[in-house]
Amino acid sequence: MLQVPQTIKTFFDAVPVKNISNDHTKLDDINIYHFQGTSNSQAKFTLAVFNTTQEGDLIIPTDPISLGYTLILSHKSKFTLPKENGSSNCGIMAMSHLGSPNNVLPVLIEDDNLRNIKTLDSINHDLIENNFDSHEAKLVNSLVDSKFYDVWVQCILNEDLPYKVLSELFGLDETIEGNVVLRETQKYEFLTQVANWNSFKLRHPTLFEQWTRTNYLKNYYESQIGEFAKDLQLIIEYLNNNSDEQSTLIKHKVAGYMISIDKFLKSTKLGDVVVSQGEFLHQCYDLLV
Amino acid sequence: MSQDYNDEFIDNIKRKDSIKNLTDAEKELEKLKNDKQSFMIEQNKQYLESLFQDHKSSPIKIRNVQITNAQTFRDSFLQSQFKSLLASDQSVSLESFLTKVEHISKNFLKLGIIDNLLVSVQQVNPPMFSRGTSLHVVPVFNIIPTKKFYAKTGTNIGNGEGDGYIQFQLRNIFGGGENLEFDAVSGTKTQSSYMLNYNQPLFNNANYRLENLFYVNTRKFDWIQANVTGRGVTNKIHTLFDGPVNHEVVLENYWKVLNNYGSKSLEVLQQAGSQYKSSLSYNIIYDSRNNKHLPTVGKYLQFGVEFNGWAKYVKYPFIKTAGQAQFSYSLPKFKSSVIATAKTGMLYPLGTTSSLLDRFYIGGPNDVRSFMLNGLGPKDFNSSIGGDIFLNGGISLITDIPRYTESNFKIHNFVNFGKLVKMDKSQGIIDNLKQLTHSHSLSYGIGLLFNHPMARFELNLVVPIIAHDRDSVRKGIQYGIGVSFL
Repeated sequence: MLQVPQTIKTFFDAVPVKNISNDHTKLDDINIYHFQGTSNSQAKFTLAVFNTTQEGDLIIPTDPISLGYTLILSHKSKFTLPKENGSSNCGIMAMSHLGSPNNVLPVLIEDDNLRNIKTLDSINHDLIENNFDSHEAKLVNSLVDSKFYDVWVQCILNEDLPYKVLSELFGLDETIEGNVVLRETQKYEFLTQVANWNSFKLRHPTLFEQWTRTNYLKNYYESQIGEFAKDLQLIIEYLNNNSDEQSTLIKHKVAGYMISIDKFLKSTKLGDVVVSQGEFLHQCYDLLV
Repeated sequence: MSQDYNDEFIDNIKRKDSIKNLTDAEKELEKLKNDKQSFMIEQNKQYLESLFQDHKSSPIKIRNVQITNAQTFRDSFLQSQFKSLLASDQSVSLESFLTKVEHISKNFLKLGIIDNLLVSVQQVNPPMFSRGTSLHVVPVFNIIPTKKFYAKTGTNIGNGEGDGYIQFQLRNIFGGGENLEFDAVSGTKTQSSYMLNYNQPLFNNANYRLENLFYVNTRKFDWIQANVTGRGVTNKIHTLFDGPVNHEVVLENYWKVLNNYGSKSLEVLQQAGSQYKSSLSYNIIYDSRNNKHLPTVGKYLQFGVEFNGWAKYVKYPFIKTAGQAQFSYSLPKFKSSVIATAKTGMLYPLGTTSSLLDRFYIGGPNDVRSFMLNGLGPKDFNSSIGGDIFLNGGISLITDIPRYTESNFKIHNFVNFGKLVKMDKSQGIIDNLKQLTHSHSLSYGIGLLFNHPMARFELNLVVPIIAHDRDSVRKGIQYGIGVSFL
């Protein structure tokens, strides 16, 4: 093998002759809503979510999964939910789903010495690994992660939601609402992405055959609403009968769905099911403290 | 000025005849076309000069103009082209006549709608009772039009990228120099690109051109670890004067979608998603260089200004200016020439910040050499997030290779410098500009360049002399291909 002469090596090691230390470049201000309180842990993290909304003086994510994880993170870290002037190192921030490496939110941005971005799959995996040891709890958690997420995705795809609602829920650009071409193109692009979340389209490719011309997806959604109502009832019973840490985490997750659907999708079929569980819904809102 | 066809501001204020993206075969074809044009003009001129040799002192009276093969052109278009010959009933000088004929030939060639234009002159008898001594002539223009439809396909490999393309052209659609072009490219960096370009001369004048571009493309922006999908319409009016000064007005409406795949920068994450641009820009160019890629004499000056923010859905409105100056001097005593170039630009965000996709990026083999592509300036978690103000430049000494002075290979010595910073709106513009007065990154290199008529190729040995800790430096061999270099 050709050896690089030492002189050349030395020469190239010697350049640049002068290194200028980085001048302070002010990066863009990122709008992070910090959790309140102080955690025992030194961890610094930010949960990136689709959009945020004000609930009283609290700032909460708009979509169910992000809201569920915000509740879990605040519970686990002994924080209270973010406010305008939260004081901790950790918080939530709104961004486009296209900022996520796999185009799904939430993602957890951990800032220690290095920055690590955890996708939803990774967050789910870590939650189960570190907190669940009961098979029953794991099954219930898995039910929420798969079936609730699926029915949520179907609701978005089937309910023909106004652009304004999509904008509130997912942070789509509201300034283009008046421009029909941009609005409809943006909406179409977004719904195309939604179909891929939770690998839904991958698992149900036949539902998307001639999507706009057939009722496969709609019929499936209607059948799944019934399933969702039954599953929700079962989970409520499980949660009422268990009060350990695992069921608390599941309750936070389910509360994310209940609150988000109640706030933004009340007029949908999914909303009807959620509203019918008034007492449990009330318990979910009580978690927002 | 978008990230695609007009994405880089400096690129945007280039003349339309930029051939940066042409393949070798296209460049060769372009060269042959140029040679052919020059040859045809010269041939026409010589022919006419010899014809009029015997009558050089006689005034010329043009009775009318005959055009053969004119059926592919509109009457109004032809009338405009030949107006200068028919405008006056008075006699003209031989020189004036030749100039007008040459001007008409050039215009037809400039429009790219003819393969050849042959001119013959018929002497005709003067009208009865005519008293003057003028020579009465009828010039006959024999137009050989180009093919109406043209298609080609091929592949490009090089510069770390490979792609395949297909191109269709419909020429002179309505008989007045109107062209429709369609390009489709798919490659490793440009994942897909489709562009439809309808262009035509304005007011039947070859010196004014209107271009309407419709495009959709997806490209990899490795320096921010993201893909960018663009859809847009660009309307452009530019001049093609023979003189050194040309102008360009561009209206651009562009929808860009930034899709992050690997960046950890919060700026990239925050700016991901849709961004709209609705901008108007104006560029002026002065070019007196004897060669566009490797001038030995002449000046090149350009200045552009852009305003983005017409529509309410523009998330990152701005005013942007950029300029470039290049001076070339010949040093015959040393069988060398010197090219000094400087570029600068400033983007003033009208909102809180600027878009990553509108900012300036510097560094690379065609820019500040000895640094990676877009490797200078602010970084955030290894993503080059660009800057709002920059100044870069360089001095190149181009020397003939001893005993091969006629060769297109030259020895190239250069020094490059550059600095790119973000605008801090809490400070005044002057304070921001002061940042450009010190702490420049600096590099030196020596190498070999090949000046092909359609592009310049460089193979250099480069070393950074001064660098910032954040800069992505390149030591050793660096090669570059292009038409625009520092």
